[in-house]
Amino acid sequence: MLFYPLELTEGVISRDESMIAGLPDDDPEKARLRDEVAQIERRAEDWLKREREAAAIQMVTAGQFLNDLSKADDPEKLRRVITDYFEGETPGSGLILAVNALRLRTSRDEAERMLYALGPKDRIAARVIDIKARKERRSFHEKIEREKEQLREEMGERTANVFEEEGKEQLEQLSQKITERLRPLLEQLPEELLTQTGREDYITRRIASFKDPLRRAAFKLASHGLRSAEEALGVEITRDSDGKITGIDEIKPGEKNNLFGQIVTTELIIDETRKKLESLQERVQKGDLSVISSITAMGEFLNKQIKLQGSLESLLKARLGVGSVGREILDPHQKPERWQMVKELLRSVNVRKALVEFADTGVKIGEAGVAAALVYAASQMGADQLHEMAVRLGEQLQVAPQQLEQLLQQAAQGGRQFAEAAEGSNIPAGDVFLREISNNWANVHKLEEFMRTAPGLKTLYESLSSGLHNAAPALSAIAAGVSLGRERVSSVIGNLTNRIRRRS
Amino acid sequence: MNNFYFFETIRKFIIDDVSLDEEKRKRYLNLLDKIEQNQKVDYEEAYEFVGYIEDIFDEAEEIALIKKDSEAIKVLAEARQERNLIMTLLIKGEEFIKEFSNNKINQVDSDQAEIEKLKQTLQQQATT
Repeated sequence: MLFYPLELTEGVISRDESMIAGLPDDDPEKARLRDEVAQIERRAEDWLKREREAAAIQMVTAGQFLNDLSKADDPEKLRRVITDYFEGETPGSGLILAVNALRLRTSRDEAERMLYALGPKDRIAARVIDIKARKERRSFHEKIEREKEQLREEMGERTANVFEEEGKEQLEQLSQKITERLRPLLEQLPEELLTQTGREDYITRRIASFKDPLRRAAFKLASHGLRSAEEALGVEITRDSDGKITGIDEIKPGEKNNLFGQIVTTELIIDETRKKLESLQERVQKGDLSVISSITAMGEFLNKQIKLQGSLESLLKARLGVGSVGREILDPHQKPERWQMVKELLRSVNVRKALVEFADTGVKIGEAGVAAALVYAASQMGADQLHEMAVRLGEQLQVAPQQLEQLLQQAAQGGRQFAEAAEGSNIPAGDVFLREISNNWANVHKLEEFMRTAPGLKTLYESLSSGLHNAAPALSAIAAGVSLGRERVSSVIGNLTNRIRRRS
Repeated sequence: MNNFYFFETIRKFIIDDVSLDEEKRKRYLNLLDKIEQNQKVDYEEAYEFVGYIEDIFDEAEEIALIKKDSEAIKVLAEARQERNLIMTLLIKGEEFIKEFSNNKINQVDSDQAEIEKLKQTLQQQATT
């Protein structure tokens, strides 16, 4: 239990009762004091009831969490469970954290209510309750931090041991498990890119395969960031005589900080923490409330490890060049805000100007770079094709206002019909009718959007078809665009490099 | 919105980079000036410059891994993905822009077909 107000309210009550007993029955003050005592008693009971309710919610939620955790049989499900209970839609809004906050808030709110309900002489008692509530809240959070620190130490020892002789068997099992998880990713790579020795051959072969000198030059630039799977992971990959991946060579203690070593270590910590959490089931079933701080500490610790695991996987994918974010950025249905930036950039034909303008207005340099690449790519099309596209868009644009007017009239008419029918309780075709009206309005919006954005696209096609664009500066601008320009990246790099002169 | 000026960031980084000798520092700063002024640059210089940037990212990634800095690893992974994407778009060239433009035009065509269909439905409903 966090704290009980009863011991203090009981003190107030017994003192008042002895005072009441000493008053004559016909003293009007006696009745008033009796009322006051009854009021304090009711509030104390109420408080206790709320405390019990909040505690019961905590226990039920803890039980649900452990139950869901035991069912999470793959990393994705585990991630979802931990996010639901410890992260939520925004950090800190997970279910466990929310019920903890509810419990703490209940105590605080009740202390405040008591403070204002009591007469002036008893406000001191209520203030004491309030101070005690604050202390309890602080000690609850301190306990969680202590438990997390213990967990960090324990896991530090566990992971150190696994890289020693005694942990060899467990390390092999973990390596095998991770290899199986990585296999689909590794199998997407060209065979030469699996091992370090094949990388140079692959680059030479690919460079020779491009007829277009600009694309050849672009690939050569890109090859700086191209890594073999062995290089990306920091391991040696073993294959059988058919070339099938059989495993990843044993990692040595000195390699535990490379990407594969970190993935293995994180996996081990997640496994161990999960086991510890699941062992708390019995205490939850017994209704032992002290288990809440342990579950919170372990859950928060696990959440952090799962986030690290996600970041490590993202880095691995990025290093292997799989799982590109290209679709996300360029698909208007997925990322409207990014799509808007690309559209805006499309209106500008001058790549450098676009890059500078958008960097100035805060657009992330990566996205400006993408748009620059897009403009460059457009410049590689034939002038005839671009002209044809510009003409086609122009035709569509010409008829668009008329279409829009018609649609608006019909949408309004549909709305009137619906309103009249609804008034007479005679709705034609029910939901279908309603859906069509809504679709009609959606199409009005789509057409408006088209009319707003198509002129920019048309201008781009026209400009490009007239040979305005010069690809060479685009290429060099992108060389610079592959840079530290984004604020977050720049800040991370600034903190994580030994190259920068530190000013005192 | 911030008023981040990316050329200045890179320029400042190059000035502060203790690993560069004066000759390289000067060359990279000149290269940056040319890019900023939209002048043509030497390809080999651009190639070397991208290599320099990649080395910085590699170093930062290694340090982030040692520190187990989840947020930094994530940011660096995203930055690498974006670099991959920019380069992929450059390399794909014509194929990409064709696909992109066709998708856009097909979308407009399909919207118009849908609009026609809706018009007919609404007209039918208006007359019944």
